[in-house]
Amino acid sequence: MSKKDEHVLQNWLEEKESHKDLLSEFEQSERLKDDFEVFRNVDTAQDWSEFKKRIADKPKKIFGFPRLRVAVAAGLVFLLTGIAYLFVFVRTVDQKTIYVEKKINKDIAPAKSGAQLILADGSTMVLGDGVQETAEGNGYKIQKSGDGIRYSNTDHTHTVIGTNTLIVPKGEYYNITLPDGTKVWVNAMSKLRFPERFSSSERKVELEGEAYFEVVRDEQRSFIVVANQVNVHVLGTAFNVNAYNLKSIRTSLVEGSVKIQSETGDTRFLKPGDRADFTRGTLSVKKADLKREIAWQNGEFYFKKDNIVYIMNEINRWYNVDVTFASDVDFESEYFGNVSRHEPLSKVLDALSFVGELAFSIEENKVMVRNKKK
Amino acid sequence: MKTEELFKKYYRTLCYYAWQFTKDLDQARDIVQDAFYVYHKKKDEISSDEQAIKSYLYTNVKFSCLKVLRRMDVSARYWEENDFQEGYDNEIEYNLIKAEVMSDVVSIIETLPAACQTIFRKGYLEGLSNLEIAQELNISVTTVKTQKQRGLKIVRAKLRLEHFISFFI
Repeated sequence: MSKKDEHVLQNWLEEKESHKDLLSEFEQSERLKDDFEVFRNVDTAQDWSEFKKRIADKPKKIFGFPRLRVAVAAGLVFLLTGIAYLFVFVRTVDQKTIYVEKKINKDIAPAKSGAQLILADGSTMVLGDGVQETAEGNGYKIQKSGDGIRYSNTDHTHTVIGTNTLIVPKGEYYNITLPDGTKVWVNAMSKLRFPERFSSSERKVELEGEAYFEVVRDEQRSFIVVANQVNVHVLGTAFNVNAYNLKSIRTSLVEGSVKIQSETGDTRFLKPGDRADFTRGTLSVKKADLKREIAWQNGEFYFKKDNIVYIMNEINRWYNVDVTFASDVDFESEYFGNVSRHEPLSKVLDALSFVGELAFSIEENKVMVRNKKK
Repeated sequence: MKTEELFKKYYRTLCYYAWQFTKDLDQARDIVQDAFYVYHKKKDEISSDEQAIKSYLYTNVKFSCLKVLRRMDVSARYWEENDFQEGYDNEIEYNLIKAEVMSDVVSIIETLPAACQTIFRKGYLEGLSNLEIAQELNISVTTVKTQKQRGLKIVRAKLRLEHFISFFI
């Protein structure tokens, strides 16, 4: 730094106390981690392309308000009409008319707690409310505990360790406590395979579909979740693995730390709030929207910039219904909102219909999605 | 100046400016997009001078943020968290200066040599320890240290000479 520059800097620093604070803040850069994160998380190009649509001359938005205010307005309308929904759906795309079309004949109940457990000897145990709740395997006992089942070891002398498979079909979900005390919330249409007893060197389980794990800490034996081509290694921590789409496996970390290893040899470490995506053979880490990633485990549907196909996929798994789209459905529109997963299907569809231009009808266990009549 | 050009130049910095008030990035993005929207609609009434547009955008974002804070009744929390001492106006000015400087720092980091940048980011922005970085990138801890120092040196030098000073004087 030249003499002149130094002089200028000195003047600047003396000018105001806040200038000095600012400089010292930069010198302790770890204090600015969150600040840098903000820059990292703003995608100018992406937001510009969204914004461009908004300033292009298109029909006016309802009330001419940006989306946050539409949410508030929609909420008010809900209250005024006396419908005590606890949710608000918001759509970013312009709306011209609002009307709800009632075409719902028979309602469909939300997913219930239930699963099948295939024991090592091939026998099947049906899990859920009011069914058989205890079983005995090779040196272990299974019993009902709260919302799920619990394993307890009765005998450690058995050397042959078999595998148990928990199968959770569409329209059901299940919570299980593994032999080491680790809790797993298994989502609809998922499978979890685990040994009757974990070995002394590692605790390895295999997952298809989606599950949320709260792993009991054990420094000696790391816990490994194998989801298709991705291995998640942890000691003790809480995280969600979504492997519904085999082409894109998402791991989101809530607390603790995990190491992700892909079959292609990539290794990444996650910090709480991070999300690792394994897509088309590459592993990448980005900031997770935890609210969204673990909404299902909190009993919610949570949509953010999701299109109707994504939404109906979730509905298909949770309510076990078949979904058909009419040819006039707009797949581009994005939806924002959250709804309790404990509501019957009609409530969810009503909300979607309310904010968008889609109409739904339920027949047997089929849902038809089409455009509202203009 | 075209809206697109302005958007690409100032959007990120303004988002950060708004975030300093709201601490909610999605909301900050909404506020900034609203500001650009208003600007775009009133383009003809506003001076075409870039500095004037810039202060128009900053002012608009500032008022929206304060409005949001008031509405959400979190302003008390904001001032608590931010060690409110010197007064409202000073604090707001500080946020503005910080946004400008941060934006410069981020641009400088983006110009660092690739290897240096990776290590710098992991160390200072992602908060990994030297050992973690070394293991992850399969290099020695000494290399990590050297690269971090090198990055810091460049950032400090550029910040003080080219950006820091020229901007404020």
